[in-house]
Amino acid sequence: MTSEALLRIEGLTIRFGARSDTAPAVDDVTLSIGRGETLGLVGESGSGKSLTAMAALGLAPPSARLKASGGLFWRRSRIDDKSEAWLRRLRGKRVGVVFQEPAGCLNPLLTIGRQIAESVPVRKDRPNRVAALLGEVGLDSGMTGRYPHELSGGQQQRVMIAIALAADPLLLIADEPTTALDLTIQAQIVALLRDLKARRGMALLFISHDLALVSALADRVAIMRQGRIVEQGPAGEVFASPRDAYTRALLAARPSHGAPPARLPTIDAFLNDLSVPSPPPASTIGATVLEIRELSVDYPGRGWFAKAHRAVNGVSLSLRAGESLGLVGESGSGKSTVARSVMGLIKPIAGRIELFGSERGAGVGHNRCQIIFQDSGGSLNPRLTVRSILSEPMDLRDLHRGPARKERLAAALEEVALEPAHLERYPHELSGGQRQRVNIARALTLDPDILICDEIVSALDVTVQAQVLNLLKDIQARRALALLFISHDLAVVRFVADRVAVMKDGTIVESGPTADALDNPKHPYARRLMAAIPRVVAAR
Amino acid sequence: MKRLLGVGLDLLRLIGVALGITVVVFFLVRTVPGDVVDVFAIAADLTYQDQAALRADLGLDRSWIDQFSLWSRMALSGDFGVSTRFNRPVTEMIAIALWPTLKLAGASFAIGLTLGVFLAVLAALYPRSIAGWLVDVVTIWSIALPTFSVGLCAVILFALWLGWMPAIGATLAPAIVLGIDTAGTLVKMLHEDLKEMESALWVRTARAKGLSRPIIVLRHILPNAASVLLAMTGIVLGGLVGGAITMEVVFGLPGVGSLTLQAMKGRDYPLIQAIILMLALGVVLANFVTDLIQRLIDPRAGGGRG
Repeated sequence: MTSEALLRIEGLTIRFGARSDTAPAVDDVTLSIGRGETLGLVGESGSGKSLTAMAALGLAPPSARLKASGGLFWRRSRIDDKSEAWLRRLRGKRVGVVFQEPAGCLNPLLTIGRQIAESVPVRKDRPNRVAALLGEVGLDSGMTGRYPHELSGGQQQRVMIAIALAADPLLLIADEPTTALDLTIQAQIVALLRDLKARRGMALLFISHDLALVSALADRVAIMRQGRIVEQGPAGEVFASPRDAYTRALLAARPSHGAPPARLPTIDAFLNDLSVPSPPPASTIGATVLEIRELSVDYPGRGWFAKAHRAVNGVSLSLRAGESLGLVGESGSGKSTVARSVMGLIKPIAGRIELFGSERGAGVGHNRCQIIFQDSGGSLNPRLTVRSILSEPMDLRDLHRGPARKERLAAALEEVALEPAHLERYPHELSGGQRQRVNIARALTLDPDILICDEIVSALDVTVQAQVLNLLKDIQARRALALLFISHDLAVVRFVADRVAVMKDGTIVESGPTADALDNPKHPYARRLMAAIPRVVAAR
Repeated sequence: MKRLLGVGLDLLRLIGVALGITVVVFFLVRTVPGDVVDVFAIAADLTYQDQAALRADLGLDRSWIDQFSLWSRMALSGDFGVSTRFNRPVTEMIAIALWPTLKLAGASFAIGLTLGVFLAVLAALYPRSIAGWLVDVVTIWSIALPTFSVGLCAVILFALWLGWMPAIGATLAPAIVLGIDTAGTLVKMLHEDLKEMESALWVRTARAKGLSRPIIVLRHILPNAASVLLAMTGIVLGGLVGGAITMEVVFGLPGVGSLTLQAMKGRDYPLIQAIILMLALGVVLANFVTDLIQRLIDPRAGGGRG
């Protein structure tokens, strides 16, 4: 592609643990990035994409064992036999790195000015260099004295980019740089990266699970799966006509932005050439089961005189049997607080919540309204087997004792497409997708009429997301559940919800039937949100 | 302004805790069988009439509630009374005993903090060196060996066998014994904290910046461990009070510890009461100060800007 490769990885294999017969985390990966080139490295979690990049910089965990059959090269020098001091100079001067989760990546006790200055190689004129860098990433140069916690997530990520650029690197590695950020912020960061790349002419290694984001930035793409590169080539070609089945599955599994399909194609269907089973017919919409009127919730501030924070401000919603309502908004908009109020986990300061026609109170609606959370692992007690986890709600209500219990458990597992053998497993023995199915099964054990899903697929990979979403949609239709589906992901909401409400700063700014609210939003914020959705572009 | 008021309210709450301790102790010591008159009676062979007269004179024949209201009224006006056993003003006795104790506790704290931080940082910088082993040695030492037995061994070894110091009265030896004990409680926690921070995301950022190992440990990791260190300091200061009492008795130092022991043995209620109030206030204030420092050094706690 270009005359000289900056970073060249040839036949890299990485294993953890002492045994050589364990499956490698990175398996015979060959990659190269030329001067000024942008390579997009795509894969789901655990595919080895980050590990590959970190290993090239000597940042792999100490327990990782590296072997590169063809060697690792920075320009013409071999990296893999160099000393730590040499690698440190490479990292400090030639290669800058931006990670996921900027909040955790900055030292909480140092001002951002000092943290940027640390990376400026020359001693003289440091304050001016820091100010110039802040300006370059779109921050005010007067912010040098701020601490990381005083900045928003997007600003923190800009600081991380400034740190990475401080030594004028030839290569910038961005490892999932927008994953933890809100949609509108994500769009800004991607625009900044594209802008910087063009202005500085540096090479960019962009690592992401999000095909749409990669398609917006990359010249070339490499797709990784289970430690191997399954497809590599110019971005336009790969996105327009993917050769590998996995790439095609990745592209298809993502809920699209047009009219939603009845079911999302899953990875198995693609890899094994199965036909997609047809969904059950949509349920009919019944009586109102949940009515929220003028709900307001405050969170108390810390300390003696701190002001309370108004998380939800006068929200009104209603939900009918068999209907699914999508509650959309960025982090901190108050969507989860609404859910927790409905469950009675928080006491609102004003407003009414009516379940099945009577006001929420002690003893009303406990069984008939259930919730599932985002963190599938954290929601399950690590010391209980799946059997105990699923039995607990029934034990609490003294339901289905004796032989009936066995049938209930078998039915619960079957409903979420798990095997009877899973009953004796512990949560850590399950994958993220399986754990979330257990959570769904647990919520269903008491046959609720209302199911609240709070970001339940946000932490899952795209292909697993597709499976869980299909499952959820089937269950909702079959049981005629009233579904309150909370998500920041508009594509996912479009697939699941009949109606949508968009929240911002504790209030609902837009609501209506899904297609109307998402395609022709009236509120400026909703319009900005829709515009920020990344889309796969095959050619630029 | 509001923040200052909040700090003031925190302080008031802590002083309330100290006063609560004093009240509990007031009644607790009176449940112990025998009073100061019994102590006198054993030594001076007093008749029942003499004893009753003495009790009436000291006010010990009155109800506990009466005694408490009398004591608290006097204490509020700054008068802690006269030692029933030694017949000297309580405040004067404590003032004399305070200096040796402060010297001992201060020296022990300095030794413990320096040794603990030094070893923990060394072990973090050079994980496979002897420093890591020393961290374990000092920790197990402080758990397994009570200070009084180590103190006695030190007296036997240095004073009796080697003759390096007078058996009573030296500050350095007890300070070292107590200092190592203090280091032992600090060092393991600090070391574990430092090790845990190695995997923090911002340490990865520091490595990605190409910073050298000493700079990462000293500039990034150690300041972040300060909060744990400060929290430990509060606990350690409380422990030092108890430790100083034992050391003073073992080494025969004329400090607050020895005074407390004498007061307890002699059922010297006014003296016990004053010492407990002072110690409770001291420990509570130490915790308040560590808390305050914590707020000042951590920008997130609201002590800094914004």
